Amino acid sequence: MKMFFRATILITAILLLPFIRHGNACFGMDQESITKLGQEVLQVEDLWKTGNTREYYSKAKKIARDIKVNASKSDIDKIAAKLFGNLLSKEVKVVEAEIDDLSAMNNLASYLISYADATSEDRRVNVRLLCKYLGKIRKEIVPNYKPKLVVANVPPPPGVPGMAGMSPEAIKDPVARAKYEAAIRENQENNLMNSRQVELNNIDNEMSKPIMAYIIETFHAGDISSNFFTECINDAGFSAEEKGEIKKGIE
Amino acid sequence: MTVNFTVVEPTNESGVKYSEDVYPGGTQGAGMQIAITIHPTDVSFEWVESQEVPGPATNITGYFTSYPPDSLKHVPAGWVRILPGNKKYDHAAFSGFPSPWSAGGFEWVIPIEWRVVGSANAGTLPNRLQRFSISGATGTSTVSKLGQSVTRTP
Repeated sequence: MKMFFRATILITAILLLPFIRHGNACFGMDQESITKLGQEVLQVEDLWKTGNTREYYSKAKKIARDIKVNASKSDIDKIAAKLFGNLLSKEVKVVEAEIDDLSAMNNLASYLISYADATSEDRRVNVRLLCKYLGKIRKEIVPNYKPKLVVANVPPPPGVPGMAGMSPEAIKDPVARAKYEAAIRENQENNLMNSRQVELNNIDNEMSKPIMAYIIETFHAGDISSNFFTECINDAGFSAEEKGEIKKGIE
Repeated sequence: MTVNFTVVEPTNESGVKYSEDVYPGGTQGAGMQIAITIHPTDVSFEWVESQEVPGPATNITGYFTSYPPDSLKHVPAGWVRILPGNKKYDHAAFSGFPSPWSAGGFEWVIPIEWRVVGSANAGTLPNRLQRFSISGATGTSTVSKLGQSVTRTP
């Protein structure tokens, strides 16, 4: 009987082996799914290289959401860091990214902060990424931003018969039609700008404290040197008050 | 510890006219800018966007029957994020229709959709009715929407 139980336990353990990585059991994603996720992160860059930037951000947002959904279940730290780094390296055009890049990076930042079993090396990479992220967000925030006027219906150019909210196709004069289409685009860009500024401020408010805590924790664990630490806090664009808070935290 | 959250959705809208359009003398036209409030106002819908849904002109009468219905159809700007204070803005206007004028009008019955930013699922709000009319040979024109209206004579 004893032998039977021992054999059962052994077989169960063997069956579970593929799900155990770095000493952590991964019950949410199997190795195949993790590999697939890693491939997706590599493949999405092809969209960028081929100029499909809108699709790139849309796909990156979806991958980041998949990563966050599996946050508590799987060791996908390196995959998240790779995508995060790729997104951070891009110069964003608002009309292409809308707010998908912000949504993606926010999910990735949340994942990296909450993943407790990162190695020392991974944590160093994460600190660098998180600081760059905060710095990028803060650079894009327009101080005292006043939302631009966005209307539900754009009026046609003066002198053109019609209604605000008419179809551009109803304007026969190509010059007037082009002017109207440009005004519609500008209205939409203003909407995106308003939306991004709201989102950027939300991210700054929500993420700066957790990022500061992550830096302090990593420094305490001896995973980052003083020089590296200084570079990172400069990248993040921390205020003097925040720098003081971090210094106090590491003392 | 259990914390219960109550989800409150947008229920209706109200509008306030805050400016009227100016046109050259002799030119047909009436227009206004409206500040729209999305209710209830004791919750913030800053994370919500809404849109007017495109549609045809209906109830076309008189002067406007000489225009192809497609030239009167409604093609709004698309999803617009709700601003702090649950505010949005709209421009209701028509102008430049040539004389000789005669009585006539048309309507846009506008379905309104809302969704959480980034979500694919949309909810709805009561339709908006936008009405355009010319009263007769004087070219006196009226546009009305969300309980607001403006009337002007060329």
